[in-house]
Amino acid sequence: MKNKFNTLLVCLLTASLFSCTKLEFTPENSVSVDQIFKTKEDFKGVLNGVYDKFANQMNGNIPMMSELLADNIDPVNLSTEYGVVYKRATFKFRTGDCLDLYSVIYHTNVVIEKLKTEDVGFTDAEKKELDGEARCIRAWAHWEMCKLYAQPYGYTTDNSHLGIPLRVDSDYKVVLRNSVKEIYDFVISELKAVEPNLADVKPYNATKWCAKALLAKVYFQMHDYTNALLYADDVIKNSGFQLSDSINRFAPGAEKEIIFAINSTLGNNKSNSLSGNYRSDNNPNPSFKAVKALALMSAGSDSDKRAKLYKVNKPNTPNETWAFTKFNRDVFNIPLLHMTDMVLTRAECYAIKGEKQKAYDDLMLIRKRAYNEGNRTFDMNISTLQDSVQYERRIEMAAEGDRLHQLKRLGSEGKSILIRNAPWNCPGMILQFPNSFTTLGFVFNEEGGCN
Amino acid sequence: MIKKSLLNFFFLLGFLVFLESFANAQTGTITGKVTDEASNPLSGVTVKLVGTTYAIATDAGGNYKLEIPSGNYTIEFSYLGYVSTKRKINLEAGKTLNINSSLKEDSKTLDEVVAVGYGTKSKREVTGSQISLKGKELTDMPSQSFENGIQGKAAGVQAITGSGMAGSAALIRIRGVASLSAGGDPLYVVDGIPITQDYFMNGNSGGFNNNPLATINPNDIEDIQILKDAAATSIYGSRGANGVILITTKRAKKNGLSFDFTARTGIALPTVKPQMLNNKEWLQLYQEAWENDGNVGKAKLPNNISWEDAEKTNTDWIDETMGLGFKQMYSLGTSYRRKKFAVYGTLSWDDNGSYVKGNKYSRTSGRLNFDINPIKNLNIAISTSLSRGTNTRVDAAWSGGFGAAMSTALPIFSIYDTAGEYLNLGPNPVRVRNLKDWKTIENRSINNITANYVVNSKLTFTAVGSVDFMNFKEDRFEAGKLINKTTPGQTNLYMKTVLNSNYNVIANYTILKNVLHDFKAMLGTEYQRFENNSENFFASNVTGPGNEIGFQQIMDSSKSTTGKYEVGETIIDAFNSYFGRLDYSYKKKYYAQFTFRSDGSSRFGPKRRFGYFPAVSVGWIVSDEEFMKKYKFASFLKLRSGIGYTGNANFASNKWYQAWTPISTGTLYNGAPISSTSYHKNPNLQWENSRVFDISLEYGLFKNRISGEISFYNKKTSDVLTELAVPRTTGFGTYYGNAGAILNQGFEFSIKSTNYRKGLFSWTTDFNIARNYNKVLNLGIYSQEAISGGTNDTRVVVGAPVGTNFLVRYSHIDKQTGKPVYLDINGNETFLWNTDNRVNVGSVLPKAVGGITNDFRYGSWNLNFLLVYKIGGNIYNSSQKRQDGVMNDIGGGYWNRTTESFDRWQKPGDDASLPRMSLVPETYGLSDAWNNNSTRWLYDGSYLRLRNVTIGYNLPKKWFKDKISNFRVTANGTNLLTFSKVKNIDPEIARDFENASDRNMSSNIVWLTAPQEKTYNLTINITF
Repeated sequence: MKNKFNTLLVCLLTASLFSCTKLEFTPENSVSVDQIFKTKEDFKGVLNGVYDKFANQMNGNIPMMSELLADNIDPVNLSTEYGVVYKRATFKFRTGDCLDLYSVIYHTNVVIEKLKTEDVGFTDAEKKELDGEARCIRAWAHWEMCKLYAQPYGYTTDNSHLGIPLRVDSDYKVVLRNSVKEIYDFVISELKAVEPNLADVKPYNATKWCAKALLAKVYFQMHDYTNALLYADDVIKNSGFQLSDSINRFAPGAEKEIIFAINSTLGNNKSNSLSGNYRSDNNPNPSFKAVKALALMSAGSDSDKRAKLYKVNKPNTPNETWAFTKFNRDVFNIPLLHMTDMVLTRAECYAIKGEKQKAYDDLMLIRKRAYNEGNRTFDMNISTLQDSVQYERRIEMAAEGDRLHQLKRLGSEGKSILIRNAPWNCPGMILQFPNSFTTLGFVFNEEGGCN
Repeated sequence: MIKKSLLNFFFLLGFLVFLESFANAQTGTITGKVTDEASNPLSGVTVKLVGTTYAIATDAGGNYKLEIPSGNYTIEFSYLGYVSTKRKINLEAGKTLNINSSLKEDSKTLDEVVAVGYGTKSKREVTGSQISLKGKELTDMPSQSFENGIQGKAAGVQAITGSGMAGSAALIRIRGVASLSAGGDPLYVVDGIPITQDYFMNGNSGGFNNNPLATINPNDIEDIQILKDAAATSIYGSRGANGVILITTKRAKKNGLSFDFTARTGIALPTVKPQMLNNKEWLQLYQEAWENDGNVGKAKLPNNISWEDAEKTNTDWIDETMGLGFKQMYSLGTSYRRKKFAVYGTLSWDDNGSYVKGNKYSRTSGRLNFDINPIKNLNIAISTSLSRGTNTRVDAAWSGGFGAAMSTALPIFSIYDTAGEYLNLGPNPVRVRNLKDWKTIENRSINNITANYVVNSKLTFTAVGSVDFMNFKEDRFEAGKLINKTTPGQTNLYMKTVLNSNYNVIANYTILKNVLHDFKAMLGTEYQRFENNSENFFASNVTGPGNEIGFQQIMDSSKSTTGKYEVGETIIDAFNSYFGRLDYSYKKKYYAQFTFRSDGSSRFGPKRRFGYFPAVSVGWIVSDEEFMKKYKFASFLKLRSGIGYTGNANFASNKWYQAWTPISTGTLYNGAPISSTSYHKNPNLQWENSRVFDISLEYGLFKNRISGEISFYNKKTSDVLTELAVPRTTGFGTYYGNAGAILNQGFEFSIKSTNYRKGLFSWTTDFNIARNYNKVLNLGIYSQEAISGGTNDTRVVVGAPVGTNFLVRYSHIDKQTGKPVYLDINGNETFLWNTDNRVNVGSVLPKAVGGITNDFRYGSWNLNFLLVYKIGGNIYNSSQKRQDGVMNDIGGGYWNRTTESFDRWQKPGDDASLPRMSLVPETYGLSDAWNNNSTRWLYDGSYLRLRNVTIGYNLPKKWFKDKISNFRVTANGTNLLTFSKVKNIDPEIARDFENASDRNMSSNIVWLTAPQEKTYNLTINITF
């Protein structure tokens, strides 16, 4: 009996040695990278994830950092993090945190690489289109970061000054900074290469017209007004988009002029970031407020419809502030490329090229929308026209992150530009990289020097 | 209250002494001589009559004489290093009894069986480095959690008590810090089961970390074994590198039924009371800052309050948040043993109020330990415990409460407005405390069943199954008035459960056993699985917290349209292990041990799924050698040494895995599904690997009157698990990798000495010191910027210790401008603070730690002092950079200041310790008010502390007619005196931590940390 018991015991114990040995526990609701690219829907899902992540950056930090560095924002209620950017004093511990666009780039690189290795039944055209969208967004993301973390195109004559690291694969290897020229060359060549493969119409996705509008903007930033004009004109004439009558592209009614927008829905509301910082209908004291000078550019005129885009709080007191109203909404789409920009870009290109009437006509498209029939008259000299376009541009695209780069563009082509009393090219006018970039050979930006 | 209790105590004592004087009647005499086994007289032997106060010591010739009342007695002879003997006697009136005694040398200490990994051994056999502490040593000094009792009592173990907040977690480090992003805490094993020990169960919610050990009742602990080197810990494989603490709970030992009752009451005060500015002082300095910055007129005050209001309001927020804490504890234990059945049980309630108003930790716990012997050769041990720890929370540190009183709560704001409502113009910690009902409730049950079957004289099987279940609820209700809503209030309920199940099977086999050889083998396997589940409930319109109105109501409400309900991901990880041990001894004089463990874990990447951890060690009882016989002073000498590998896998699951959200999860963008990842994959992720060498000498001199241990160790940890900050260009912010190596090397010395022993009086001293040398040997390809110690700017720098203070050097105040002067990287003076000028300026790790215990006994009285000390190790007062820094900034908020602020620069030529007052960071060369880490706030962290003073008295048993076998009354005080160089803060610091890296690298960093508590307690213990 005892021997049987012992034998049974030994068998049970031996069996127990090999019973519960499971060690594979991966997170719920997840798949590995090897499992994710098995169907067309998988690819489309990851690419849609790229747009989602891109939206998470372009809806907030990217435009807001540009505004903080420029001259549109009243700093009275900024947080410490934003305050440091406003003071143009970022350093390795406070950097503006706009480099999450590299996460977008990582995902675009994975899509581009997997399209080459995984066959899920796409036609060649389908493949090219997906590849084109990924590359378009990758180029755009690089350009946005380059504008914030590097001195502008034209800062040096050959643009050999440091840009940002260029990432064209999903490897984890450390890369160092490329020159601004290399970044701009990459952006231009990629946009040109993919533009023919992209769709004409595809809401909220990168399209042919999205790439062309971007090319217009990139060339404009490079002072290449010939090409900027070429692409802006192409978009205006051939894209089908039209200037809308709306003075606020963040409100319904402006859809026909939106070339590319971030999509917001109740379930995935991308407008929270802007409304959380700017919104003034439910918060008398938002973080981001307008400087009075900006507000009065439109609010100072009774006949300018755009006066509605500002709201004064405690007027005529020492605590008077001006809030933006264009983001006073729960859910709204965020236009990133639009016809107002294209028209103003073309107008300025015409002005620079001496085509005064064309410049005037474009300018008046904007003016008439704001004032009904032209409320103001202009001298038809080039300088005044360019200034006037810039004037309208500042009003139209306030709080959209445009102003800083226009001032830098003008500064880098030789104009004497001061931004809040600091030279356009002072070191602190660009953001510092964070500490985690400390690797052999990585060169950080110079800090401070603007105050 | 305390005064009254003390009066009652002394009245009781007086009354008992008075009673005793009437006990004498007719007397007789007992005389005799006490010798050793060789008939040599022994002097100083205590001869006492058990249960009475009659006792005497033998003279130089070993003789004694006692004149006592006639009656029946038990006479006891006791002497250090010898086995005590007892004998019953009957003394008749007027007679003389001659009672001689021969005492045997005590080898019991060495034969004492102690727990080792997956088994037990006699102390003589142990070849690893391990320290035993009795449960009584842990509970002698009242503390909120048992691990606090280790402080100063175990060489090589640094124990930093958590803050004075109730239920705070201690920081235990054994032989230094060898981990960075993985947990650096030892592995806690209760009755053989590695328990759940997550300090970040609710992150750093409210500026406070959860203490996973707090629900363990210290009164349940029989003893703990602290395993330090690889010989002792490699049997725990990938989880032993930071030491192992084996906790054995009490079991019924004596036959029959007995009870043990303990009651304690006490009070708590802060060891340090921060001195902050009052309203007039703050206004004066604020106005001065305003004018220094070039402004004119009266400064604009926060929230636009008038100067008139500010000048007439003076709120002392420290007094409003700090008070007197009350403590009480009751514990009833019972023990019952028959031939084949035994049970031990306890019921305990411990209510621990802290000095922080509104904050306390209550623990209710019960335990039942059964031992059953149903058939021959089969023993079954069942242990089960159920406890509930309820922490009544207030905001702390950065989150508010007492932390706000030291920072953002300004004296110019009142608690109430003129209408009697709470003022809501700035931080008002009283408003928050009273309008927030916040508890964390932890239900915990640790259970195991062990079956031990003796197959034959050579083979034994042991099978263990266990479940450690933890249910954790953070239940926070905010009244409508607090959140500016008209509803009664809202509740956030965060619930987490951890089911930790484990089974192991072990076979022990005696290969050879005779007079010369003893050769044994042990082989085992273990599987352990942790399952974590969490749920978040948010109810926006409820009348109270879950613990008041019922958790079900909160849960139901959260699932309605006005609430929010989220189910967290189920996280499972597991270990599958095989282990074994070979033990060989020759002549019971030479010992050798070989252990081996193979650990597989789901935490490791697929390319490193299994780790292997061997260790070999030897022991030599030198004192048993013939050549040592002539050295009579050397009672016991044992030399032992070991080398082996052990690991650390104390990190979260799935860190190696790049999880992509599948397109089926339902999240949409632009109406279509999305998929993405936030994780940087690392299939090579593995455990940390430590190679540990240890050589030690255990000694007992002069018949073990002096005993102790000297150890040297060298521990090199490679593949250090690190959450590395990688350049964002990779697409990710951080990832988990194995990078770098860390050296811990040091010596430990402990000595226990009976300094004096005569008659009823004895004086013993325990002293220990441990010196650890810590150095980061390399970081692979990464720089010091890749690994950050939270927000405190402690870093990992090659060639320097872990937790290096990496700071800009502060030089002096410029006499002309009043601006602070820093040093740049080259040592040149500059007015600008810049991250590029940070250098290694020392470490938070101490050079040495230890403790000194003096124990005085006289008859039934004892007096015990415990001094603990720390030599070296910087304190960084991180919050002082705002307390004594810029008074305001864009987004920086207004801060109150310490009274140290008065020694500030005011005019050219001033030689002051603080710079000019300013509201502008640029005045101090800063970009913002917060990034101001410099050596200005760095202090020498050395301290000496009177940790505990205990005075106890055992009441004579005869007063209770043998119905009570022990009645002890104890009064004690903790943290009564501290000597250190820091002001305004307590030098013993374990702040709230953000994560494991912070916990490893940021001890001794202060961020509005509540100081330790000073307590006074009165305890009664009755055994019957």
